[in-house]
Amino acid sequence: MSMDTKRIVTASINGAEISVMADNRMSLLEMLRDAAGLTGTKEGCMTGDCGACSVMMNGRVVDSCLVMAAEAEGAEIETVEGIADGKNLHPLQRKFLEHAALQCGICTPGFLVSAKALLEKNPDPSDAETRYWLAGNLCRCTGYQQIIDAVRDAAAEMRSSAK
Amino acid sequence: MKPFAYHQPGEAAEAGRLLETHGGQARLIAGGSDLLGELKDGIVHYGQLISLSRVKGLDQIHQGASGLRLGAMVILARMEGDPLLSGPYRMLAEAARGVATPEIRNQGTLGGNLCQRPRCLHYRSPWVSCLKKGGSGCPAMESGHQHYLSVMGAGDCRAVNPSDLAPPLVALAGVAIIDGASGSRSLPLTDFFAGPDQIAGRDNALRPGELLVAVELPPMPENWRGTYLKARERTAGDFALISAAFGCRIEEGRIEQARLVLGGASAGPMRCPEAEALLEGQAPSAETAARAAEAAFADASPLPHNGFKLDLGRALVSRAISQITSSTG
Ligand code: FES
Ligand code: FES
Repeated sequence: MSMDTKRIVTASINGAEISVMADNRMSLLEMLRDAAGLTGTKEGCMTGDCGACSVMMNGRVVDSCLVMAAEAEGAEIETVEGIADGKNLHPLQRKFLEHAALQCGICTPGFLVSAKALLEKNPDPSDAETRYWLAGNLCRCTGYQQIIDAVRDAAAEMRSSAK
Repeated sequence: MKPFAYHQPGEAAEAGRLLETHGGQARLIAGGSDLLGELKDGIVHYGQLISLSRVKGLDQIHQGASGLRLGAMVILARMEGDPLLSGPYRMLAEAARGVATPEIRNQGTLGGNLCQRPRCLHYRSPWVSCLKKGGSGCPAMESGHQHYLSVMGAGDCRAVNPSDLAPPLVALAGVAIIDGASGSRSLPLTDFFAGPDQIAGRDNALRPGELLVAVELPPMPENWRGTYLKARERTAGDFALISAAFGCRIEEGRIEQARLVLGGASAGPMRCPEAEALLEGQAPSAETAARAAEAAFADASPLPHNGFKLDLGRALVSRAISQITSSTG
């Protein structure tokens, strides 16, 4: 039996319309990294356990390794590449640097995307809320405290500059 | 991963037709968080995947005269915070909050959560054959890894349904709404899941060509309250070792309409009629809760390496009963 095992997928990625030829087996993560050349999003486990591949899809943070590229047709995707404003780092990115919230850095893009999603929903998360909403992102290096501090510090700065 | 065709039908009936046409070669995909893991690990292969993401009308939560209807494609993140999941239904929001991680709750769906495959390590390993994968024997019985196996029942396969939504939905007397190529039907969730004497390879009562499109919950009295507690190895992102959904209402200081359902104890979510009967009409107390917890596990027949789940389970049951009976009324 003949079957179509490839398709063209068109999605908006960080505001730009991008079309790629995707094998049906391709994940959104592979579509971003291998087809669109956006290697900021990382692969940790490919099984939904680590969150290194977190991206925003239609306003919700998802593990892109568990999303079929075919499901991204027509979707709005935001990746870590879309967080900074040109050369100006997002407050979360600056605070990650200030607090030394990264060592090897493989988890950082996922944390930034998830933390940004958290702060858009809750501009003043408690320590417990921050830990709860970042529970899908694993870090083998920092021990998490610096990450939590960076996120809450960025939240404080964003609140005061919003006033 | 072997190549497959990927279908995105717009109607449930079309999904049913595709399922029927392709038989055992076809599998439904909802959020994909369970199935993609299986495909990547190479423990299953399908030539045809049928995505439900474009099927219209499956992502609604709807309150009507006959109760609450939850579409199979409602994502778990929505269940965490939907205003309709309050009062008697709040236990569903609690259960949804305990599933996996925020990322997975943004992808995972109610239907996918109910129809996910077991976590038995032997089933999940690409290196060993087992009954659920069509093999001739069960390696789990001789293994030390029995924490995701049942403590009740005597089927040839002791894998349990890992769903966190199933126990509270059964406690709320949920009904599975099934659609497919040969029409629609409904089935109480108690009959939907495999029973204690399950046939390996069959997790639920769906027939070839059928799909779960919604769960309907009959109206509950305004003052009925429930909770869902789960024991797991890590506090985030982990599956239940054993879990308990309990709910009741308090009328003039007495427990009424008690419902107790265990997860991770039997092949599917298991109601505990003896424990419920013990509670009915009683004044809440720690002793009553402990007696009900004892009764819930009276028929247990744990395996050599999962007896610890009985202690965990009894503790969860008494805690759930105490929590609800002390805060209700
Ligand atoms: S790579 Fe997707 S969760 Fe780890
Ligand atoms: S910095 Fe290395 S994993 Fe997080």
